[in-house]
Amino acid sequence: MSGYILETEGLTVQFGGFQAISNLDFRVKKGELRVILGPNGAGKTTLMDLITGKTKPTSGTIRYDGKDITGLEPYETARLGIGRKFQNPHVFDKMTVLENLEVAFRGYHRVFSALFYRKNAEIKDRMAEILSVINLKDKAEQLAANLSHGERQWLEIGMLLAQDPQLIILDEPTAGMTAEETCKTGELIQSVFRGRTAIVVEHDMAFVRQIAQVVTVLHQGKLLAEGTLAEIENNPKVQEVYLKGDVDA
Amino acid sequence: MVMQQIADGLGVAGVLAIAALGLGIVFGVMKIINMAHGELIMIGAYTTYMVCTVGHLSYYAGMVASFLVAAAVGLLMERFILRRLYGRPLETLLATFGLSIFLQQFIRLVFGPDGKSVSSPFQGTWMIGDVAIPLFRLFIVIVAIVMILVTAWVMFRTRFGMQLRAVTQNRSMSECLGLNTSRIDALTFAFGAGLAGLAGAVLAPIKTVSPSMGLDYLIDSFMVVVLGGIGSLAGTALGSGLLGESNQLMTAFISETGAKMIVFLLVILVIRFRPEGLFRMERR
Amino acid sequence: MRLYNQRIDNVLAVVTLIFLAVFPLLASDFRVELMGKFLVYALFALSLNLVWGYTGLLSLGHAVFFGLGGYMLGLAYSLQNGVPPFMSRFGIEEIPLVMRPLESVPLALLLGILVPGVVAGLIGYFIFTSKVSGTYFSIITLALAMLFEMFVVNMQAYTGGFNGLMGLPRFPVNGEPLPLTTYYFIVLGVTALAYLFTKWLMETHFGKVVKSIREHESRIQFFGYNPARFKIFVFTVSGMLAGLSGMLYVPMNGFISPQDVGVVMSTSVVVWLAIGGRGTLMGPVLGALAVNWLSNLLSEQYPTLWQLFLGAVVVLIVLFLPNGLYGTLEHWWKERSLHRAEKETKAVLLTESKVDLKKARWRA
Repeated sequence: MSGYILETEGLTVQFGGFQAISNLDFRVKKGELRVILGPNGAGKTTLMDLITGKTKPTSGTIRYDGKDITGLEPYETARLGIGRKFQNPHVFDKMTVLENLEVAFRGYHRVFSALFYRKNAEIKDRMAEILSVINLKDKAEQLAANLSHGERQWLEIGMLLAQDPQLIILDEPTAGMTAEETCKTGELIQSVFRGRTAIVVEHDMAFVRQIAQVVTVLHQGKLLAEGTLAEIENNPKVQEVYLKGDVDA
Repeated sequence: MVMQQIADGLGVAGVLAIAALGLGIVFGVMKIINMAHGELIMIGAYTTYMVCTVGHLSYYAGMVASFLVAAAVGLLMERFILRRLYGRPLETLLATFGLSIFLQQFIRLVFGPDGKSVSSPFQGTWMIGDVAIPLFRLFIVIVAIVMILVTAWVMFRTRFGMQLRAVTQNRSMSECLGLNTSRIDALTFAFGAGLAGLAGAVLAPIKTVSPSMGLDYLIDSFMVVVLGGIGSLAGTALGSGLLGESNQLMTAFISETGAKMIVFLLVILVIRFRPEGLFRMERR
Repeated sequence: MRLYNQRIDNVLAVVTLIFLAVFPLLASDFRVELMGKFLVYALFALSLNLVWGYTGLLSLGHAVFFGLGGYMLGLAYSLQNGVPPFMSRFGIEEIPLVMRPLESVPLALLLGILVPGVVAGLIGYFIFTSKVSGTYFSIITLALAMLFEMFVVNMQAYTGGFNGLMGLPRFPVNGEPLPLTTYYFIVLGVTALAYLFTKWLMETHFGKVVKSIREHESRIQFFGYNPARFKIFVFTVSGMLAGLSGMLYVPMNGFISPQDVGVVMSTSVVVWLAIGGRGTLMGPVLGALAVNWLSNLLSEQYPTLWQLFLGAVVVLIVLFLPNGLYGTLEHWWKERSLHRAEKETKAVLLTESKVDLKKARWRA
C-alpha cells in the first residue's frame, strides 16, 4: 500500500457499448518514472483522463497517495498534487510567458486568495529560476502566442514546475520536437522531476529508451505487459501486438 | 373548458414545432444558435403577406414562397457571414444578433412599422362536442406533422440525411471521409431557415405581421430544443407540444407572464439537471 | 513593454476624464444631462465588460440588474410621500410590507446594489455549476430580460406598469434636490472609481485566472482552479455594478420605465461593447459614449436607418474587427511597442552574447 503513489483497482470506463479501459489494475511507486506504451486506441490518454478526473470511470477505484480520488474533478486532483502536460501545448496564448507561469503557481486557487495575491520575493525568485531552466528568460514578457512550438512545449513544462505537483502526467511531451529538443526534454524530465513521480505516455522509441525505467504496455484498454524496456521488447505478446511491424524509432 | 384550452394550444404548439425544428437542426449540425431565427420567421410572414394579401395569390403559394425566400436569406447568411465564423459560437451569436437588428429595421424601412394582416385561408371550425377547433389551427398541426415526417425521412432515408447525421456526430471524421461539410452546412442552414419561414407563413393569418414579431419565437424555439433534446425529432415534437399546451393552459388560469415564468424555470431546471433533454431518445 | 501598453490606456483615460470634467463649462444644461446619462451607460457597459470582455460570458440580459437597482431607488423616491398614485389607482391603501424597506432612501441605495448582486449570484450558481455552454447561458439571460420586462409591466400596481416611475427627483439631500452639475460630477466620480476598480480587479491574480477561463476553461482546471467559483464571483460583482449604474440613472433621468430594463437595453449595451471593444478598459467607455452620442444626433432624423446601420456595423465588426474599434487600436499599439522593445532587447543581447560565449567556453 505505502510506497505506491497511484493505484487503480478494477478500473473500467465505458462509452456506449465500448470499453475504453477494462478492469485495469495499475500501480506506480513513488519516485518512479513510468512510461506507458501502446498502439493508438489502447486507452493511454483515457487512462490519463481518468486519473486527472477529466473522465469519470464507470466502475473501479483510483487511489492517489492512499486517498480515494475516484470521481473527483480535474481542479480537485490538481490541488492534490497531480499535474498534467498535454500533447498539444495548452498554454494561454493571450498572456505573457511570465503570466502563464504565475497562473500555474500553486496555492492561490481560492477566489479570495487570488484576489489578494502578492508577488513576493520568494515567488519572483522561483519564477526566475524556472525561466532559466526552460530557457525563456529573455522572452518572459512575450505573449505565449509568439513562441515557437518547441518553446511552447517548454513553457508548459515550466508551468508544471511552477505548479509543483507530486505526480506528473506527460502526454507525448516530445510531439513535434526535433531530435535535439527531444533529447533536451529527456534530460529535463530526468533532472528536474527527480524526487517526483512521472508517468509518460509516448510513441517515440528513442525518447523512451532515453528515460524509461519501468514500462507498462496497454492494449485495448487492458494491461498487456509491464517491466523494464528490455523485458517488454522481448515479451512475445507485446511483439505480436505492438512492436512487430512497427517502424517507430 | 380545459379541453377548449388544449384545443387552442394545438395551434400554438404546431407553429412552435415548425420553428423549433428549424432552430434545432441548425443547432444540432452546426452547433450554433441563430439569433436571427425570429427574423427569418418574420420574413416568412411578410412573404406570405406579399404573396397573399398584396399579390392575391393562393395561400399555398404563400407558404411555398415563404419557405423559399427564408431559405434563400439563410443561404446568403451562411455563405457570407457564418462560414467565416466557423467554430466560434459566441461570435456567431453576436453576428446573427447584429443581423437580427439589421433585418428587423430593414423590413421596418420597407414595409413601415404598422402590423399587416393576412387572412386565414380556412374559415370555419370543427366541433367535437363542446370543443371548437378552428380549421386553420388544425391545418397548422397537420403542416407541423408533415414537416416533422419530411425531416425524418430526409434524415434517415436519404443519403444527404446520412451525411448530416455523420457531421452532427463527428465533424472532423466526416471531413476526413471526404464529406463536403461546408456544402452540408449551407444546405442545413438553408433548410432550417426555410422551416422558420414556413413557421412565419402559418403564423401570419393568426398573428399580426410586424417587424418585431420574431423575438418571442426565438426564445420559445430555444426552450423547445432544450426541453426536447438537441437532435431529437421526437423530442422536438413532444417539447413543442408540452410548451405550447402548458403555455396555453397556464395563460388561461394564471396569466401570460406567470405562464412564461414557470416555463422558464422549468427550462432552467432541465438545463441544470437533465441537459440532454426531458425526452431522452437513444441516439445511435 | 508594459509601460508602452499602459501608457495609451492611461493617457486616453486621463484625457477623457479631463474632457468630461470640463464639459459642464462648455455645454448647455440639456447636453450635460445627456452626457450624464451616457456616463451612466458607460458604467453599465463597464459592468458587462467584466463578465463578457474578461470572462467570456455573453450576458444578453444585463439590463435586469440595471433595472433592479434603478427600480429600487425609483420606488424609494415614489414612496417618500406615502402611497403613490400608481398604487392608489388600484385600491392599494397602504405601502406593501415587501416595499417598506424602500421608504428609507439610504437603505434603498444599499438594496439597489445588494439585490442585483444576490440575483446574479443565484443565477450564476445555477448555471455555472452545471456543464452548460456559453450559448445556452446567453439565451437564458435573454429570456430573463424578456421575462423581467413583462413582469414589471404586469405588476402595474406595484411598479407603475408600462409607463414606469416618473417625476423622480435628483438625489435630494436634506430635502433639496441636487443641482445638475453637482450630480453630474457625482456620476463622473463614481464611474471613474468603477473604472479604477475594474482595472485593479483585472490586474490581480484573480483577473489572470478569469482571463484564462475565457481562453481555455478546461485547461485552467488542471492547475487547480474551479472555474465555477470564479465565474459566480465575477457575475455577482458585475450585477452589483450594473445595479449601481441603474441607481445613478434614476436621478439623472428623472424617470425609469420597463423599456430600460428589458431586451432593448440589454442588447444595446452589448452593441456598445462590441463596437467599442470588450476586454479593454477604455473600449466600453468610449463605445458607450460614442454610440449614444451618435444615436442622439442621428436617430431623431433617421431612427430606422440608424438602427439598420448599427446592426450592419455589429456584423462587420464581428467579422473584421473582433476586438472592436478601440480594442483594435490598442492591439495595434501593443504590437508596435513589442516590436520596438524586441529590437532593443536584440541589440542588448547581441552585445551581451559576445561576452557570454567567452564565459561558456571556460565552463565547458
